[in-house]
Amino acid sequence: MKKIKSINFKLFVFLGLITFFVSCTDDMNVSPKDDDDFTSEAFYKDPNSYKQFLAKIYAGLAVTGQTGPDGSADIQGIDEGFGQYFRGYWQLQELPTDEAMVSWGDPTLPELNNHTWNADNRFVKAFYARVFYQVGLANEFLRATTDEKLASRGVSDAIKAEVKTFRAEVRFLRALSYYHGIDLFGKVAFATDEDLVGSKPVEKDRAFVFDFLVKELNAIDADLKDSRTNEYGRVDKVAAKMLLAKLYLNAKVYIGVNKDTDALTALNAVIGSSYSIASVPYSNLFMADNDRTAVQSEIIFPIRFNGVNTKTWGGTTFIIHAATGGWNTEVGVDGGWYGLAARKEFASVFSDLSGATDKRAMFDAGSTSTLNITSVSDFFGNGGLKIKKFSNKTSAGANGSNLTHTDTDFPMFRLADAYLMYAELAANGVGSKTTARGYVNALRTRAGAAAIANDSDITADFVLDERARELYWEGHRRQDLIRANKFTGGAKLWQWKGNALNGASIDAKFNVYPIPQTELNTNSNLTQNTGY
Amino acid sequence: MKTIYKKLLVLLLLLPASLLAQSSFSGVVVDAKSNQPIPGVNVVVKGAQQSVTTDFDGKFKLSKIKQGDAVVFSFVGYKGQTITYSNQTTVTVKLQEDENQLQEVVVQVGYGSVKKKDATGSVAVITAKDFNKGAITNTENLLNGRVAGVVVTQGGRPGDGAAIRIRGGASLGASNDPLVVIDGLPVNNGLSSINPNDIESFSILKDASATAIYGSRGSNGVVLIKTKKGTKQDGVKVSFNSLTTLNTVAKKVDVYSADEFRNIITTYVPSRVALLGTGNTDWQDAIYRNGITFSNDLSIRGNFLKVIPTRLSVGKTNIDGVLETSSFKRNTIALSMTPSFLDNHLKFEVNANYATEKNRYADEGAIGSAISFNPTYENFDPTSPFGGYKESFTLNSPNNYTVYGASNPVALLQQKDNQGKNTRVYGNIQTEYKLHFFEDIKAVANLGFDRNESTGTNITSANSRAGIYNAAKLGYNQNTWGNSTNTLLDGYLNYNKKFGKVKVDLTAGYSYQNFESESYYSTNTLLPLAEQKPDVVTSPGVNLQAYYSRLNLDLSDKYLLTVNFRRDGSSRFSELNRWGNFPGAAFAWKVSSEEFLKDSKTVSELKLRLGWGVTGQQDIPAAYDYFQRYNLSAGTSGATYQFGNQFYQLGRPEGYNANMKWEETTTVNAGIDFGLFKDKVTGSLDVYSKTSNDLIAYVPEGSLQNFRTAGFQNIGSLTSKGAELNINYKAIETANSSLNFNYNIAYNDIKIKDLGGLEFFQGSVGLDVYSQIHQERLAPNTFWLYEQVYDAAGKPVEGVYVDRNGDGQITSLDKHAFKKPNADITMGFMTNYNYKKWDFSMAWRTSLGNYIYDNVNASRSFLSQSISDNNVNAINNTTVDFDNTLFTQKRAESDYYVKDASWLKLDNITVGYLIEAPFNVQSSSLRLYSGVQNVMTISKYKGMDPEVFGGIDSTIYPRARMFLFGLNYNF
Repeated sequence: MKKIKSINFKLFVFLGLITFFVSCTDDMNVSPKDDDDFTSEAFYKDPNSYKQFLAKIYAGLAVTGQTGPDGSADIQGIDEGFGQYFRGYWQLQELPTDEAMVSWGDPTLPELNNHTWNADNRFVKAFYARVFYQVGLANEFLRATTDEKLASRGVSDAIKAEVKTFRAEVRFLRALSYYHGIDLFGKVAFATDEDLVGSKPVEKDRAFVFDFLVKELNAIDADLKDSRTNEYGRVDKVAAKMLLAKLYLNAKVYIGVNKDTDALTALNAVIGSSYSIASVPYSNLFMADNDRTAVQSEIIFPIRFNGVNTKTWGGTTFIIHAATGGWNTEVGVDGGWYGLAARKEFASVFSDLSGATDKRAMFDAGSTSTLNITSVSDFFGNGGLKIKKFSNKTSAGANGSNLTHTDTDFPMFRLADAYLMYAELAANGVGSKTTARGYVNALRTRAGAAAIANDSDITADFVLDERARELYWEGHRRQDLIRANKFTGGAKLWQWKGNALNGASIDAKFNVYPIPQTELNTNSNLTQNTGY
Repeated sequence: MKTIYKKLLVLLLLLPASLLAQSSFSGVVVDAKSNQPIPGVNVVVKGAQQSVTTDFDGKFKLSKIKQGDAVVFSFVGYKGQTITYSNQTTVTVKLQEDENQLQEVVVQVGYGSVKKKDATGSVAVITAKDFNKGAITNTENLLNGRVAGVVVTQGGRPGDGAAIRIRGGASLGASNDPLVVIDGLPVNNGLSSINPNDIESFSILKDASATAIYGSRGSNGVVLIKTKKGTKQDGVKVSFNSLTTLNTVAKKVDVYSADEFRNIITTYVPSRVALLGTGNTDWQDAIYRNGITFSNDLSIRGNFLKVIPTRLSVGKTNIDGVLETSSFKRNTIALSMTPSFLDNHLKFEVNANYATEKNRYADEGAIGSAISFNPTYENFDPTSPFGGYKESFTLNSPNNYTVYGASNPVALLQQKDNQGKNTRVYGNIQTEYKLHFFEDIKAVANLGFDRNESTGTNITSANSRAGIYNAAKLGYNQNTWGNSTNTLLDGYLNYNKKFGKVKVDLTAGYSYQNFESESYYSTNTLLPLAEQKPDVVTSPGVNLQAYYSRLNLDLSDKYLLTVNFRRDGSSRFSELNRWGNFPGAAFAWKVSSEEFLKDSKTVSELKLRLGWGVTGQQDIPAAYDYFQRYNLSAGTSGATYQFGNQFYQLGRPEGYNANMKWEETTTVNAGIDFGLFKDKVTGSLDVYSKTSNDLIAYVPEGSLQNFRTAGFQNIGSLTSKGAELNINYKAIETANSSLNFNYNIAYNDIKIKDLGGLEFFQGSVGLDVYSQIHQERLAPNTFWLYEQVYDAAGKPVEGVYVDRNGDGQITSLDKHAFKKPNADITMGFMTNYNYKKWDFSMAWRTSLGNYIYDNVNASRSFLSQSISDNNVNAINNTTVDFDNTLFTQKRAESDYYVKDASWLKLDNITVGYLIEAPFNVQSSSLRLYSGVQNVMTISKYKGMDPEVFGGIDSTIYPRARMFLFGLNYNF
């Protein structure tokens, strides 16, 4: 009897141990416990998740992580603020031109002022990473919202219909980033939603991507909302047309083929849409309340910022603070960063810097007499034209919701740009100069500048200057100069171009930025741009 | 089921009773001098087959013994003794130490212990006599410098834990901290809450043949801590220790005086001379003070109710740091009970610890501010709106300020009250049951628990510059809490038997450990509600499980073989990669047990060891990097996006690596343990080679490859080779005096062998500026900078670097590997001298071949944006290194800033005097001692302190020089 009991005992212990170990082994299958973290399945259980993911991709242009202004960064290995999309884009499009220069000495930043950058440039690297982070998010959205995936999650028809529009918008955002990619880097790392996460992207040249983008933008037209029927901040058919027009307009640079006629068609669709030039003072387009209804009519696609809810160290927070010296209270911020100024050559596009004859000349009066910049950095206290175009004050004169982080949205696409693109086409012989003159004068009139009297005034040089007057510091200058063949070479000089006090010719290789060395190190499919 | 339970219970209770009924002879063997039990004593009945050995409490038991039998007790190092059995049921046998032989040292080896002389792996044991003397208020300091190859870097902040590196660590991206086990409980909450006077000994396992028993956690070595226990002796022993120290700043950063600063500004920033004040302030003097440490503890040891050996200790430590406002208060209670029942078949070890810590953290930004803040300012400015502290600001409109330049360092300290409270409860219950029906087997179960609860408040005055928000005075008030829990269940069986000349010791077991944590922060509660973003962060937890086994074979007390095998599972990896196998083996030959050396007068001990083992690593910050997750930004996170008029939370797919797997480290170790001239000289020499493969490293990931640009991957391998020597020399050993020297030296050469062709930057010294690199063929964190060009006078030429690749331009391809932060050679030296009632102790440490990136200078010794502030209304002071460079810009990427930081430190000198039987109390003693801690540092490095963990000196909390007085009173 005792014997049997002890066998029972052993059996009991044995079975007990087996159960124990098996149940314990399951403890190693951990899952998120935090209220901000989800498995993929748990995330998509909530029908709001699709719009939250969509918001992330839009916000990818505005913020740098999951906490504003910093924290839980999207991009690792760089300073979080450097990796903000708009700041990166703005610096690469503006700093090497006559429109802007930065006074700070952060390593490799002055290289953008004087065209001495190389494949190690931190700001080039940061923007490259951000552009393709954005593409990666878009690809994942498209992978995660296929019809089969939606069906498998039992998503309602209403959500399915909504997601269809979201997908078109996400494809637009992906196209936008690829467009920025080919514009700044030439060839790009390329992957779509058909590629797997974890695989190394291939390299594609401008021609390939150009064709891809044209097809994409045409393909999504049907699914995008009609002009101005979407929520403000989200894109519609007109934004896609605008991007298409920009691609065609720059086709001679990107693929060596003149596509001005196609550009005109796309532009006419933009100009003929329900967007209109905002009948507000020019300055109101760049103020803390530039998302108010009166301004919205002109803004085809804004990047939205908010001092409380959409905070970043980049964006308009960067541009307003960095442009500001001791006059911070004038622009509604808590302190100037003493960084950005324009060069004296830019000043010459305005015949009068006071703003009296053209309200678009929004400069610090004290700086108009010290335009000379005598050193490549650390010049802010001594020279350069200080710009007050962007402000964190509302049109009523109140401060934005926060004095450190600004409310001011950034107009990525606005109708005035389309007007002047039309004018450029007209100057090149495509489209009507008379119509073009009307568009130019509409803008000049709003700014209180004298109207252009003759169609013959619509020349390529005039339009280039007019674009500078209307659109300075809006991230167009480098692209405009390249299209005009004035960025590299010696056709146009400005201070510190080519690292010479009064400017010097630079090599054509600077028409594109180098592929960051770190990208070459981590992906053997990629190759460096010529000359770097 | 219930009935089975009941029957089992009855069965279990009956078993011992029936066994007790048999006639037997039992007892305990103790050291005649110390009355401490001696484990492993051979107990043989003369002329019979019966023989046993005493257990770890010195207990033995013989059954079937006849009256008149002679029982022989023998043990190495002791004189044998014979007792004739005459119906005594229990005896206490006192063995006299054989003067010619060493006393046995027992080494904890994880899931058991062995005698030091039988250890097969590279292990070091540090007991009370080897501990550092002097101002010891934290546990790590006891062994700092005492063991070859164990580098302890202790911070200066009161209550700060120390970083321990054994043989330089084994990983790049995963943790390099050794596993710390307190009385069988692996802990990861640090040692700062432990009273160092509760420590009995450290056993440090260095090579993989020893650490493989801890498999997944053994790659960086293991520190096993044994705390003091109660005794079985009658009577109560009380011990009281008291320590008082005066803490002073040993060295300040060399900055310009007010007058020198006036010259600098007049010469280099003449446009801002108007900003010079009339004051004359040394801001470093203003922020440092003399601090006082009081540390007292009381412990009671005895045999509670005559069955439960118990030790209870209470400790209290108060430290006022040398930086104004910083302080640390710790209260500890430690209780240990080690009862045994059923004739020693059932033993318990209960360790229960409770500790509270109160920290007041100073704003250490003040240390940097004290270097930069304008020395021509006075501290107080009656017109200042910031509590009367001088600051640089502009009042734009009522309550709207723009501030610039460095902050007033005194205000930073005095206007901030950042306090943390920590309560930690930890301990374990270990049950050891020797099977009655099969005494060679014992079963051990160990249940452990470690819970830490903390709360914090961080308040910044509304009237301070630091409290400005949105240009207006607001102040700052944040609350935090956090808790972490670590639970452990360990169970193993041990089989120990001697078959003729072969002793077999087999252990096999299972271990389960779970880690959970949660934390909360309120953000600034003074903000409008809509802008606060309080969040509770819950960690997914980490779960580790393992099956382990070890076989020790001892042939004729000459040949020792240890074989380990452990299988580990970690929740950090997917089911596919979850389990790793970690084997280890070691062989030792006790040459001195051979006939030809047995009677040698020169060689008293000689043992050759050879070990091999594989250990694993999984300890990375990411808890579940292997599956895809989404993160949702909180509604108040400040990272939401507006469509129309509504803000939407952001749903982000997180980067992941489905293929994450174990990092594996293979170590080969060869060693000699020796004793010469009757062990007047003892020591050990080890050489080793370690290779870590499938390194878990945080590496850059190219664009479009993942939803991130850097993450953890298994990539490449790391090797390290080294040699270690420990020597102890008893120069004098007489009745009246003794002189002992202890010296250790370690050489370590660690290199990245393979990194999959990648390289990545480390050591951030500014926004996106890095000073170090991980690159193949280099030591980890090698400095990677431009080669500075110097002029004829030896001054660095600003911005001019050597075009190393000769392509006519300076690009990152011209950067070069220039020195490394980790030392080639580390040494420790201690001497103890006793003469009659006096004792004297002195400890030195040295570190050779380690370099520092001097970020104190690199980040501020230049004009633009430093001396001449970004804002035209401010100027800042800087270090005197500006004289050497006159840099106008920040030149952080110049190798000029890499400095030789080899050092020699005299850590402490103490002198003590012993009073026997003070106050006429028999068998009591009082020792009074005094000394200096952190006596001096010899180094070429001109900064505050060359001992900087990680090799980048960005201002550290200064390590205080302490003048100490203390007493130990035992009665």
